[in-house]
Amino acid sequence: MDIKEYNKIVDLYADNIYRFALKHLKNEMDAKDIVQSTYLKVWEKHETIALTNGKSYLFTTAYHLILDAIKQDKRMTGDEGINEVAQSSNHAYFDLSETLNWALSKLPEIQKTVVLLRDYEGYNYAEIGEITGISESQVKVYIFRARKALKDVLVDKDLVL
Amino acid sequence: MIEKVNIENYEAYYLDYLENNLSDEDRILFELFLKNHPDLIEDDLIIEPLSETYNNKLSLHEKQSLKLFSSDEKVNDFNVEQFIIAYHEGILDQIKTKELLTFIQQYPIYSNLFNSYKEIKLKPDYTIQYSSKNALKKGKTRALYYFVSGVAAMLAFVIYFSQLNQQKSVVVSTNTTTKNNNSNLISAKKGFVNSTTTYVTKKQLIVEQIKNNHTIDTIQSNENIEIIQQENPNLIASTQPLLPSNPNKNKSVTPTNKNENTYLSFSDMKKPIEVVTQFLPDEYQKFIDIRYAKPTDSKQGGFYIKIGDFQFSRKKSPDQNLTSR
Repeated sequence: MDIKEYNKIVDLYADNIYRFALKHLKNEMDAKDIVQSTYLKVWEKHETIALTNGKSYLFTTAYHLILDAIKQDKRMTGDEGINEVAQSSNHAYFDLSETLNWALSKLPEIQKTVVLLRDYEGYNYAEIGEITGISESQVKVYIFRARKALKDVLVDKDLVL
Repeated sequence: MIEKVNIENYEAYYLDYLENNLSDEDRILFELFLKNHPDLIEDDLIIEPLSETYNNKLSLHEKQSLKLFSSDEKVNDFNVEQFIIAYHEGILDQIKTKELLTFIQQYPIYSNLFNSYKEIKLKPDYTIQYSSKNALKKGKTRALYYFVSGVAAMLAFVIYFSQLNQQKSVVVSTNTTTKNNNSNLISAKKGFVNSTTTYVTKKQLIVEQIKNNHTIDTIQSNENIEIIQQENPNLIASTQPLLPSNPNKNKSVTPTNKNENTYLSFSDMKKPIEVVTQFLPDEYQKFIDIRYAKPTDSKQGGFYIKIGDFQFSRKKSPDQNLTSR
């Protein structure tokens, strides 16, 4: 990847990486740090990265940086997040997207990641597995569990027909 | 010599003893050990199987949720939710899709569930954007960004100062010029003139003065500006200011020294820079003039800048320090 190609992936994917990080960290400054660190790491290895792999490399790097940031901030929710999503909350969310965003924030990090990569970026299960370092079958399991947890919140709040 | 059964391992032997798992030799050794240590004998120790007292079980639903989804199964009450998720994930083939939809038609109670999963597809918020993309870029693109930013800042500066000077009076030089010096005639660009009432008035005044054979002092004109001189080739310059509203009609705008033999007048200086505003829309047009001249043995140098009503000049004589006015 030369300079021109590198600058191209800045234009193409900086917003995507920023949104991805922001959904995880819920902090604009931290999300911007992730974007900068991600592109710095990609630049350091740009000679070994092909343009066609740029996007997946970016998301893989960003994902690991996000995990490190979360560990540092001790915001890991763990598997108990599933139950937390299913429970009724005191938040008065009547808007579907608002409720979805709230429910998403309560998912365990890995489930949040796979759902975001699936819905936001349109990755298939194999690609998500490469990015997150888990098997394709495990990705499916997390996707299914995440979908169910999100559905349970919506049903609980009578936000679906 | 370490005894085979000792205080460290007797408990393991105890369990085997109670379960009759010890060999004859080990049993004799263990009973001898207990005889020597009567305080270690457990009278209440009873071993019973626990399976009958263990009642915790997973529900069928919980077991079902642990299973990996397999589209080979037939759609039923236990796996219909998995199939619905798979449908909305887009991973069901045509046959299974048809089977699922038929099943839901047969059992409408699942239609709400089907619609629920339809709603939970996340959509990216495209209003969330990273604002500092250019700072991430490398190489020439980044340098170009800074260069363009610098030029844009300079243009903004010019526009800002132009906007400050809303009064449209054109203060003219008091230098006299010859009638053949075409560049010293006042002119006005058509569109520029029409942008404000004041400018229209000015053009009318110019035309009026020309008609009345008034000499007109000029300031330097934009090459793209319509030259009124073409209408009046015999026009000669004068010191009369252009706008009658100017109370100081004879007030000199550009500072000059009376001794023109040693001092270079601004009208004689070169214009190194084209009028900046020629590329701007009409509503932003202002008279802008920038001139400079190098000092010679006999004449002063210096520079002169005029933007609307704002002006600044500095002159340098051949053997004197720089003076500003």
